[in-house]
Amino acid sequence: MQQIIKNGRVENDPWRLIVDEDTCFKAAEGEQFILPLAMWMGFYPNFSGFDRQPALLLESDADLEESRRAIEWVPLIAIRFSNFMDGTGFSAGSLLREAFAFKGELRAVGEILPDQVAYLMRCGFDSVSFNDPNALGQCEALMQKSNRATQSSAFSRKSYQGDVDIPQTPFQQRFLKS
Amino acid sequence: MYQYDDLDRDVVQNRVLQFRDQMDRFLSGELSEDAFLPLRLQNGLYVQKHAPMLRVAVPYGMLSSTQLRMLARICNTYDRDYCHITTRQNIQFNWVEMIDVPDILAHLQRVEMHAIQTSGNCIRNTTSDPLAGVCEDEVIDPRPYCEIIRQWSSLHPEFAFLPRKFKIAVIGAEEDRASIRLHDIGLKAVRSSSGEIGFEVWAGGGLGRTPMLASLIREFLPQQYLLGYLKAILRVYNQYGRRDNKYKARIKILVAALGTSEFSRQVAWEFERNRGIDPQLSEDEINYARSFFTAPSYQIFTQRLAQENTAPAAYKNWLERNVRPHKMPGYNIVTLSLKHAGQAPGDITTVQLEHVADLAERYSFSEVRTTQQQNIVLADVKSSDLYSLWLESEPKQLVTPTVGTLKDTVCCPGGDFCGLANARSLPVNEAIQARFEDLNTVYGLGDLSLRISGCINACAHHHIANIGILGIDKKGEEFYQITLGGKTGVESAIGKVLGPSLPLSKVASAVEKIIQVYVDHRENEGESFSSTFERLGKGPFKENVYATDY
Repeated sequence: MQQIIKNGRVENDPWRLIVDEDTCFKAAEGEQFILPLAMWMGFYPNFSGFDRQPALLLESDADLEESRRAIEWVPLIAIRFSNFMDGTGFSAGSLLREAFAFKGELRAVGEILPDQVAYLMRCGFDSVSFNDPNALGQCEALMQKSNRATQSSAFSRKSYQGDVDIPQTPFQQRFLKS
Repeated sequence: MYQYDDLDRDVVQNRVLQFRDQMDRFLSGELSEDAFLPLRLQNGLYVQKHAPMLRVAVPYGMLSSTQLRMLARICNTYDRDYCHITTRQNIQFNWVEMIDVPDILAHLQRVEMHAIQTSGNCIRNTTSDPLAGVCEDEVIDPRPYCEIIRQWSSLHPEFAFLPRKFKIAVIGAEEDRASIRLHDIGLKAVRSSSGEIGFEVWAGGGLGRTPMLASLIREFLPQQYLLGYLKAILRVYNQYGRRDNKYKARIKILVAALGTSEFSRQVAWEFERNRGIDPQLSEDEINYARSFFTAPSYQIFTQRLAQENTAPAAYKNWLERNVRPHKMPGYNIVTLSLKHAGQAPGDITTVQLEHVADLAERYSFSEVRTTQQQNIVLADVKSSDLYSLWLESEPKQLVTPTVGTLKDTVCCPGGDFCGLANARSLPVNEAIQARFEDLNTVYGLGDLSLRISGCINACAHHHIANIGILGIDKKGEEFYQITLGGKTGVESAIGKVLGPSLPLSKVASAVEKIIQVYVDHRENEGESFSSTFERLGKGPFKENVYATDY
């Protein structure tokens, strides 16, 4: 079972990510899968052979409107980051939470730096699955330091914008006090 | 001027702690060079030719005396007793040690300053009119909106890894002293016929390899929607901007590829679908932001004060070129020039910084503004203080009476310092200035802009200069391309390339010939360079410059 960042800590995760299209794919019993859009559509709407309805993998630059029906249906959406310099996925995540009101689990997968995780959370992501095997431990260490709030405050909740759950304008919380 | 509260202090302090930790992890090998790159850039830290360069944000160009003294202290303790004012109103330290940067950021934080997002592919420092609040042609003071945008864009979680850098400028006056049409987003605060405040929104401007002027994408955006609309523009860009080619990644390429109307339509659609979700700016909130930028306690003068009749000619020249009228009778806007001969344009020493801090304290409500032209403005100087200010500043080499002239060169650090540069820019300027030592000749040319960039990144904004010079590399040798006819201000235009590039040794004489063509052909002494150029076209200039050489 893979390990991911979820709920601010390292957790075991039951989802199996299928990255590449595979026409011979068959759902194994007792497992739950994250499938690329085309494969997911292939099993829609009956999902026969699956114990649990599969989740959806979207490229960070996917046209979300085209996937609207799937988005309304799935328990989990994974957004794939192909390169940590490519921040398209930050907008994809925010849009899913805001314009699409997606309520399921939102996951970032792929090439992601531990230092980007705090921003991902504020864009509505619940969980992160790193390609880099070292990143998980580094991210955990960052979160622990933040909890101690002595050294790094990468995960500080103080910000000008709030997050997708509670967006704010910079002065909204402040001018009333003065 | 804006004052931090607890939230600002927390946000900036967290960032300082975070960066210190990132630096430690980089030095220990945990963070790779590649991973550290975007993180350090978002904290203003470049790796340069000789030493790292740290760029510090000066939000919309405003600095207090306290902040100036801290910059002086950093120059003295960590750098070589000088720093550099950039064309985006920021401050650069060119000789700091990488290991000292977390400490420098901690010092800056104590005086409410930071280096957040001064480089990297994110939203950069918001720039503005250096005469905001004091100029006569102002409709709305842009600074409260600049501060709102500064906060909104600082550590915005969605827009820290954009396809490329992203620059926003805001003005609220008739004349555009911030070159909004050269920005990714340019905002002009305006009042509708019913008196409502809102913005003209321009998008897709930029310099660099493919210079473009921004297009108007919304004629009137009511102010309460400002942040939602900015977010919509950034979202369209973040989703559809090109990431496959660094030179085609700016928003200007996207706007040009889609066309203005299609781009505007996509932004409008993105804005509409999120409109119910994005919180709007309330009137109270805007008024709160405005409360930091109220007019200082001006004295009331009923008559203009007489000029110092005994003063030397240099003082009178200075009054003519470096002092301009203020909206309040009896007050003046003074430009302290950083273009003293022998000093690199925009460089300012520890001693000068301390002196400017003192001047501001005594004569201008303890505030200054940095300008796009790489000078410093004291915005509120009483007429009765002008002569003392001049006398005290003359020995500090801050009163060179050449603002707006050919000698007020805008220049990047160039190949002498910058790792990106293809050619040096400072020696070019020196060679040109050596040919224009007579001030009367220079004054006779009127307002004339000269800008020199050491590479196509165009930090000196050479495209918008009447005479622009761009350094290029030709098989390892420094060459320079000349553009003519660019302008910014009431109107904007991008200069046209004159002809083949020239070696360093020929640039100054080429500029001299260009000036001679202008002087010979202008209709009268009042006809500006750009008007003459538009009338003549580049033909006569080209003929003259290349006649003997090619």
